[in-house]
Amino acid sequence: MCNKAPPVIYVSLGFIMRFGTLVFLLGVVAFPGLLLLVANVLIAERRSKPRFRIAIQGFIVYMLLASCAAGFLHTDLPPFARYNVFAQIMTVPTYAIRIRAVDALAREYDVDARVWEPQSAPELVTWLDFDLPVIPIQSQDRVGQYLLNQANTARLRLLAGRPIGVFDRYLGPLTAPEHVMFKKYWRSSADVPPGPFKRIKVYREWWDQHKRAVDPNSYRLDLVYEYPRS
Amino acid sequence: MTRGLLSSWQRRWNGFWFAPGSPYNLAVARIAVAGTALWIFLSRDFSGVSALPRDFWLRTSLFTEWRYLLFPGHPVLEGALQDLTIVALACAVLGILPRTCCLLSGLLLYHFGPAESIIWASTATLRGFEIPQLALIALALSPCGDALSVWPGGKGRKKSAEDSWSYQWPVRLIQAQLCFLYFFSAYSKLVECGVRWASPENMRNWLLTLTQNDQIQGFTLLGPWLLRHPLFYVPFGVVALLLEFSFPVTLFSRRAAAILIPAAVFMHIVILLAMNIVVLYPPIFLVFADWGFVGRVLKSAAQDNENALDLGERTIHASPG
Repeated sequence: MCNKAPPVIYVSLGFIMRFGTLVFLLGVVAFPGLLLLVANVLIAERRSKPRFRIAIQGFIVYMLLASCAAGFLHTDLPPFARYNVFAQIMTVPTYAIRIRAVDALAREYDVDARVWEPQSAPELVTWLDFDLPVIPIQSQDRVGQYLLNQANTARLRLLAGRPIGVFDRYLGPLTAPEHVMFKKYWRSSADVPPGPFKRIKVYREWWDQHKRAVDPNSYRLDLVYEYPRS
Repeated sequence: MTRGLLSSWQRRWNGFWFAPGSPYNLAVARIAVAGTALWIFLSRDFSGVSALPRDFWLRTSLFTEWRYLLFPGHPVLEGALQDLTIVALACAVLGILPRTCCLLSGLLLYHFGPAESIIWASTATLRGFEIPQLALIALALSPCGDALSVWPGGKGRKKSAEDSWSYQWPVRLIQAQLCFLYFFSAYSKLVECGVRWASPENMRNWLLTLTQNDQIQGFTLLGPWLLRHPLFYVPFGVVALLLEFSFPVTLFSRRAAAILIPAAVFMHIVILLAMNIVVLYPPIFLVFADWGFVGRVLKSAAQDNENALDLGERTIHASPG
């Protein structure tokens, strides 16, 4: 009975767990390992040229091995990245998160991405999509209030003729763009209401890309969250 | 035979990493890497993320916070570190104590790198600092201030010709990191999606999605044009995969580099104009060029200047009265 081989599924799970632990440990030691090798090079440099060159070789080998480990294991081992760039099949239908601010007359305004700075808009919408629904309701509402305040502060800035974001504070038009280029909805005071926004709404906008190619209005807005709650 | 094989391998290894290099190549690498990081850094507000309501951080694990020493609720401290990073990067660009500044800014970029996405991602990469942080740390271990620097610092030890190996390896390492970026980007696509990623259908769906989403609208002409001319976008997936997989060849062949690097830049321009997706590291491609000529030009200018001064002095001495 004892020497009976365990079912394959248990072996696989055990392997995955051990493998997962190994990968986790690699992720933990990747940066300290790099620091150790940097320290080794700096110490060797003070001692002798041959030692320095050996230490440099060690540093190079580590950089190559760690980069390849992150790449081939397909896992980030910070600071070594797996470079998972654009690696996705685009599904049909698809959706995007859309944030709208609502004024006292119940008119809805698409909010300019610069309003959320210092948060980057692509990161914020991803967080709203995945994390907002699973945090406690009180936390959701504090976030909702924060978003509403941000929208109103930016609205006042725009009306006063000041920049609405903070990213371009040093470089102006030469500011490095974000990974995804969002449309600048708020360009002049005519793009926002004269009175404050009263509500913030987060939608999931669904559309079938093939149908929308024929009819641009072929999409559906599902309300995911609103503040204050109605 | 094994010994012969080993020594041949060692020769190749040394030839690749430690061949005599130009201090100007290393200096341009320092300026390109630190300059790119500085450009991104001046275009963000990482310390502001620390000031966000704590509710945003609820799903960020303690492990992730400790891994990067990045915690919510310390905007003043983060602001000071942000200013320090900007100063260190600017000094690295100008060549003011470049080795110290490269090391400091490399470590600080590790800290700030995930600041934008830490609220939802446990490991935050692809925000523009992956290559700069590793490159700056490598540059800190090399004589990167020997050319094009305002105040190199150190003991001012003169480099002999036999030391010129130390100019080569950091440049090679940065080139290798760029190659990893492309190669593993292609590898990830195959791991995550298989060959279907490169299918014309997937390319079309991506194009449709990014051109129809009216929130993403920096450039609006090329995307719809491509959709009307499938001949141009159908091979895009296969071409992109081939380009990315073959990018490491640039390390070994100048001819390949002369083709693949402009091709990669062209690919990024098309992606930007058609899909509004931006990558910020192309300035680092400057590490593939040979900048030794800058040294030669500067030397010959200095020589000309010296000759002119010499001639002037001789004329003064020769003139009567």
